[in-house]
Amino acid sequence: MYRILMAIDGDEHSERVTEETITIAKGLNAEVTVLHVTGEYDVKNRISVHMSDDYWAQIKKNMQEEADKIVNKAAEKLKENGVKAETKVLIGKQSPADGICKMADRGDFNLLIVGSHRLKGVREMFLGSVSNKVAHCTVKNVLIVK
Amino acid sequence: MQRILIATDGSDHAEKVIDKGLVLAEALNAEVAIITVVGEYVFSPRVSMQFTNDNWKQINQHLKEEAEELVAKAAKPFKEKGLSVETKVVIGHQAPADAICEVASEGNYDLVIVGSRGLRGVKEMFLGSVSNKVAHLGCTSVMIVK
Repeated sequence: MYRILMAIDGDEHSERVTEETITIAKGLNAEVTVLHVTGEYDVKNRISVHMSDDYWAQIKKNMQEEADKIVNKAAEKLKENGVKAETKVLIGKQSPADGICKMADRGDFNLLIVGSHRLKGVREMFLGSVSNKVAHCTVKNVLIVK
Repeated sequence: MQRILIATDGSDHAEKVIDKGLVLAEALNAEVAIITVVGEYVFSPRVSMQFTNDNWKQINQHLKEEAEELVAKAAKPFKEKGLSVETKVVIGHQAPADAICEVASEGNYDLVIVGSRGLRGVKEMFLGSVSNKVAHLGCTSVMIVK
């Protein structure tokens, strides 16, 4: 079975990434794992020292809910189009690229699909920082959707 | 992903790129073009200074023949699968990545498939210089075959 890992960050471009993944997954009769990586890296250290444990718990819960929404929405779209899909959310201290790489290397995936225009991309010159890092670190075949 | 541009340089790794490209093209029933880029950039200035115009003509002719042979060979398995395939040879001063992007943009290709390393790749740490540059130029979606 051909297995695809699709990593999305939930921005507008994620829809395009999902559409391209549908095309490819249907063609290859592939199974898709929808991945979203989020975590504490999103909160600046300077801010985080002022937060209580309760507040952190609340934030993590919000992150989880937000992440679930993102992957479920994409998975539903895949399923609507007849593509077998499962979801995975990683929440932790790692960067999105590291999380994606770890997941891609651990699972038995034939192809990793990411978008090139990411939320963090505004800081980058052209190619999003995440897709750039992922292209370098993972041993899998990588498709970068523009 | 109806139109796919597959870049090859005749290296061992390029065969893997062709294999992956074939799987994807067949699955998507895509129109394929095989491209190779050769040119004067392969000679260092110190070497090329010593060439006469006749030498140049001869070398270019030789490069062209070799390149045409290369893409024709790469196109063969696509033809055998009954896919629409054409071949492109670009000879000139520009870098391979620039030429690949130019052809991809002008030909309205949906996807470029490149290898992560090739003939020039030994010099690179991990991701080949050409694939890296193609990914950065952002002309189209890119699949990097590792």
